Amino acid sequence: MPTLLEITGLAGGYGPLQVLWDVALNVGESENVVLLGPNGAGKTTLLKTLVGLARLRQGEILFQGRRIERLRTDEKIRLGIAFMTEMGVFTNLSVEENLFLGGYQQSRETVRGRIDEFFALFPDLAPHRRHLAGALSGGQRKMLGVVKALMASPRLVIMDEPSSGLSPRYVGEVIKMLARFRTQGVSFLIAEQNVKFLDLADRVYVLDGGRISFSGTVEELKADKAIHEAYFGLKGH
Amino acid sequence: MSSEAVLVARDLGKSFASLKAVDGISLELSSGEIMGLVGPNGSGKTTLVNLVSGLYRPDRGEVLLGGHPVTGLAPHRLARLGLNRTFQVPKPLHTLTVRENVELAAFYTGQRPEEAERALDFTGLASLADRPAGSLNVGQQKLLDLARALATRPRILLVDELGAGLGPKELDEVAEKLLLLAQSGIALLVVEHLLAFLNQLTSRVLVMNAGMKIFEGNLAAAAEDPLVVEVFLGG
Repeated sequence: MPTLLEITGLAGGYGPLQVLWDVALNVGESENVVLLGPNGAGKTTLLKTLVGLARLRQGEILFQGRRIERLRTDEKIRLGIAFMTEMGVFTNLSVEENLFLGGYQQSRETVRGRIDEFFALFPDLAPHRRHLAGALSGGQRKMLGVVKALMASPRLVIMDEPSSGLSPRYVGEVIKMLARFRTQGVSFLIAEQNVKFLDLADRVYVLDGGRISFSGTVEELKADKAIHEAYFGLKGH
Repeated sequence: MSSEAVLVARDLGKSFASLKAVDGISLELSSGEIMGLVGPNGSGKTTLVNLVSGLYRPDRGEVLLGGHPVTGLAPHRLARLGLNRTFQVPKPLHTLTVRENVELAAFYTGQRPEEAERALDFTGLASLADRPAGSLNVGQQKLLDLARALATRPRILLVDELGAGLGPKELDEVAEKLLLLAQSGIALLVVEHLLAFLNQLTSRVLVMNAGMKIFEGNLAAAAEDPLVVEVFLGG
């Protein structure tokens, strides 16, 4: 599988605080990579550093073979990287306006088609098409954020906890939707706590204390007893 | 109404323009009891919490605290009467320290500063007490929001999606804390999507859909209910 994103020797943090140490990670073409790790491990910082929203101290980031670590965030987005933060919608714009903004570099027909597809998939949200995104519930905003990130027809989608706050049914719908985009050649790097997302993963990285403590397939992760117990506990969420 | 119910809500309703966000919800909660509140995104769970905690004034219905009507009282007055809540997205005062955030809540409701220390110890935040609240990660901010509510010594605590964004191990730890609170006599209404987490806390759930109650009773039975499966759990 050709490599789409390749990170080596990455260090990062905020001000005097170093959060990430010597992180190496890669994502292949049409590959789904899930990033696990407890709160405070540095998952959000890693994703933000990748897209240029947190300062990179050291390391190389290659996207389609090209060095991008010094590019501005908007330049990275133009290369085909989309980023969904935990609360990534404009609450003072309508649902539809949010979706149009997400696809602002696409043709209007493409975006219209995607929007219709979205409302067909989530009929509960269709009546809210012209409502302010701020009037949606927390979980509905999350759904909108996921779709907004996909509107730009990106090559790589980076997502920070898309499932948090979603009902079990919506989690299932999001996973189905991501699986569909993947068959269209999109790659994903997803920081998650919900183990259901492992069904979608080709490979998994575990980040712990700012360092990668595991990388491998889902089967390898499940076979690693120490990691399984340390991360998943015993009660089986 | 049973005699020992500390919180009673009767026929609560709230609309936003044409949307009936909460449409005739009643519930009762006794001391030391935990009730789960579940339902699809947008079904009105947080609006219900906002009605009970005084953030919104209901269009209809009433809220009783220990048998006394408190419908429409502002949140800060309800906090002084022993009802408090946590938020889905905590908004601590970022420039204050963790301790100052919790002390402020204790002070405001006339509690002694020791209550703030107790809440910090209980939530495991004591070692972070001198850090600015803005430097905490998501999980720690949720615990701070819980500590803030606890420092007001609530008899009734409404917990809005404390589990969202927490990992499996953190969820187990939070579940243990909530169980301890119930054992100390606090009545808890817990809004949650993660049923395995809820199952550690209680067997009693209320399920909402489109502002209405579609199920009330046993959690295991809810998971078998065709309508609950259709709108909430998914196939």
